[in-house]
Amino acid sequence: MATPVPVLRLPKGPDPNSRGFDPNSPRFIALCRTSISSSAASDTDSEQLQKEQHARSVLREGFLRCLLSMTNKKVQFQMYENVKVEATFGASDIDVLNFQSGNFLGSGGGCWAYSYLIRRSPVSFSGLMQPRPLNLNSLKHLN
Amino acid sequence: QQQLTAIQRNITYKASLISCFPSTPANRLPAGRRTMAMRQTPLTCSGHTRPVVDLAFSGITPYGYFLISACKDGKPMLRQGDTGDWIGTFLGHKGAVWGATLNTDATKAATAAADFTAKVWDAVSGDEVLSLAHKHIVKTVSFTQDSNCLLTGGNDKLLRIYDLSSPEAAPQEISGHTSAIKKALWCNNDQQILSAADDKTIRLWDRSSMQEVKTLTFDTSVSSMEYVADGQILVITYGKTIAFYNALSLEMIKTVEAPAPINSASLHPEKDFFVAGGDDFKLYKFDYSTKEELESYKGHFGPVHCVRFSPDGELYASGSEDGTLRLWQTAVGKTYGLWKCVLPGKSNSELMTRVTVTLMTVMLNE
Repeated sequence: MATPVPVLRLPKGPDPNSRGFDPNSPRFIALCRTSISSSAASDTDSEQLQKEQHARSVLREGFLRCLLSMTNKKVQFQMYENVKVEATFGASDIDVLNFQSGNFLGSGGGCWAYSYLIRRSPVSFSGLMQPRPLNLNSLKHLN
Repeated sequence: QQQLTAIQRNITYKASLISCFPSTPANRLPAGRRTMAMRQTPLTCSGHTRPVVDLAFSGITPYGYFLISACKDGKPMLRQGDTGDWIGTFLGHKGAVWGATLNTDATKAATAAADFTAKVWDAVSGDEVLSLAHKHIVKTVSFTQDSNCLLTGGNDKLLRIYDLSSPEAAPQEISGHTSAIKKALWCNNDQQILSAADDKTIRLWDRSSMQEVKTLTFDTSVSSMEYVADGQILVITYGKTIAFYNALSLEMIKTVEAPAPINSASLHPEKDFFVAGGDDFKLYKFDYSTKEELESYKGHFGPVHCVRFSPDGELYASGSEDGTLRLWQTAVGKTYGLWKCVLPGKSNSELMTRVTVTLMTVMLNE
């Protein structure tokens, strides 16, 4: 009988706080074509680099302003099995994975007054702009 | 050996975590005799919260090879192929993901979902690159070898070809199937397309003329289809049957009957084995030449939906209704990835200690 082989460790599971794709991994560093890397930037790219950095900071600011403007606004979470929950929006993390909200009101009329961290359970929710992949052309529309 | 037996007695095992230490190394078995290896320690990849319905490997890249899994939780995941280590989750779909694929060098991923979109992703950064709107649930996606075109198919019964260099352009559409398409693949150097649908047919299409070249009709719906470019073999499953066809002529090569209804099968790159999994939760390994059932493994807690060999043939991955992926060794007893073969002898005592410490740490943490 061929014998089973022991396993050195279990495969690593997902990080609950991040979507992964470690930017420090050798593959990411080698293949990701961002010019935001001081060691990789060359003279000919410096103007492009500045443009890209400016674009990123504008988009970051836009995202944060959007989140700030959503604070204390009423939002609706659509959960699995057609459950809809209204709440007051607090904050979100950068991956829009985790939310902090309060004053929940379910469709049955129940009300939770405490702050509740929803993780990954909503199917969709209205009221929040999704951050989009970086596109230099979209800068033309931003002040 | 005595110390080892004492440790074995004192530790209780969780079936999915740990297996017994080998008492007879594989290379001591009589040469030339096939044996039923009824036990092996799969690598269990957890993280999905709902059934895993599709999986695909990339080719071999300078960074190893990769595995993508499609899941009804809407969050396809990328893993390192030889270890099962999670690399990242592609976030963006708003419904169950029914199909997932990687391009050969694992720089791009594509997914097909119940939110009526197919999405293309940067598989290095995890960013969504394109979202391709469809008119119904999308079930299957496939890249050409140069990654420039994406083939999609789904419940609207149409095959679509997108030019990824001009994604705003309308896709080419191929109609003909009379029911939902469940699988579509490029074949014959991307000159032709194979599609399997709920209308119980598999159709071969010519890409340039967009015309149907040949059709295979079955008595029952085909549950899965795999194309092996080297040798032009098509692996099809339906009922309890695993069938092998010539992918160019669609002539049948052979069929093999399994003990239970099969949902997916995969042919080893060297074409000496194939593996299959289905409704009885087990994985089966067969000899391709003799059709003999060689091994079978319990492990999953639900039906097996998909099974695929890695590009180097050293392992195969299975995805199940139980929400896990498991990686299985092709040659049980071999050192590969996270599997470390242990042979008795002085030189291995350090390894034995290390493995034992790992086991005890795991048990304490439990």
